[in-house]
Amino acid sequence: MAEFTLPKNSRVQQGKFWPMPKGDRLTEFRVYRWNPDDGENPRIDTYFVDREHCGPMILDGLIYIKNEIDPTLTFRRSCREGICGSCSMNINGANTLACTKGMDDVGDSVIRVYPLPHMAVVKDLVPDMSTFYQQHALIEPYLKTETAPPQKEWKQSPEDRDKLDGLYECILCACCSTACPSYWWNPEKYLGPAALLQSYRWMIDSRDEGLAERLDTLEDPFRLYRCHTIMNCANVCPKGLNPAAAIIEIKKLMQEREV
Amino acid sequence: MVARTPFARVRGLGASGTGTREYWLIKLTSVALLPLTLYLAGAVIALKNSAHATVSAALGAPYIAIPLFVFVMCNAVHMQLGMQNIIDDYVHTKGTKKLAVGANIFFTYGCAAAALYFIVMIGLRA
Repeated sequence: MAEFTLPKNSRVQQGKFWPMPKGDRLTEFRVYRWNPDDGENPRIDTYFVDREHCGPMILDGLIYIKNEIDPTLTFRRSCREGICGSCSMNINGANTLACTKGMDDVGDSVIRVYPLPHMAVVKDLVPDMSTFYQQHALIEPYLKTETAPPQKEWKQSPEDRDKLDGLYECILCACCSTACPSYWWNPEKYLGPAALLQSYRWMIDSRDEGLAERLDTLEDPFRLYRCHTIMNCANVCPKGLNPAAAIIEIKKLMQEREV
Repeated sequence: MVARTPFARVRGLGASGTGTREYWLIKLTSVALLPLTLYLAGAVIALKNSAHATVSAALGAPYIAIPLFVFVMCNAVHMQLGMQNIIDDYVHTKGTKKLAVGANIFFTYGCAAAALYFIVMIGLRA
């Protein structure tokens, strides 16, 4: 059965209260900590960030904590401008990118930072993304053609290119998939909104010849039809995309073929 | 314990090749049930305080019996597929799942069979 309570070793405990730095503008951070090597339960550590010496984004706050207070805090980050998708995490109850979310935009004086929900945690704010990436690999996210390649390039009209807008921008941060209750209950069998959005991106690419195979791959009660249009995916997407709408379009293609 | 690679776990047993027909049927029956429910609810209200013989005669008449027949069939399909969705979402233990899927089919179509039997009986006696 689906598990609705946390197992004993995953129950979060009160953690360390780190000393306050000097300064007038302090922001409180409560951060999820878990170390696989110490055998302890996860805990919530409290830190105070000096806003006078720190940038405005949540990621700036985490980098400040790592550099100035606690170098053991572990998290992923790279581009710090919403392009790489590395710093996706759960901030005050919603999945988003720490680099594009301002400390003043969370609507609370306390900033609570957790790893992406319902993923195995590697350490602190770092989730295990291997299943998520393999789901993306399963939908074969590349151009599939049978026709011999043209001498110069596969051409596409501007109108056909426009159809890819709202789909190609996905950065695979996993905010959508890990916000989806259906993905929580069937994390391996349901492909999740991110993989399905990408599948649709290739389905409607005018240059692609693999539509039938792509539909075959998804013709399954679990891979595609676990989506119940809950819309959490669209609500949390930091790029403003709508995976639920793409999934509906896939279902329409399926029906066109079947009925 | 069998340690499989993430890709092998994601690929699993492959796509079953089903799902669309069931998805379409659940939508179709939900659309069909809307007017049927309103029509039959109206009929029940219209027959309020009527004598047993009047109600039996109405239930035997084609304008009630046929929509009622279709209503029971649509309800059975809709209930079975809806419950199947809930089982697929939440029940993951192999044995329990088979039991739940089987019980769901027996219960929904069992209820429908009983309802259809009584509709026919009432219709024949009317």
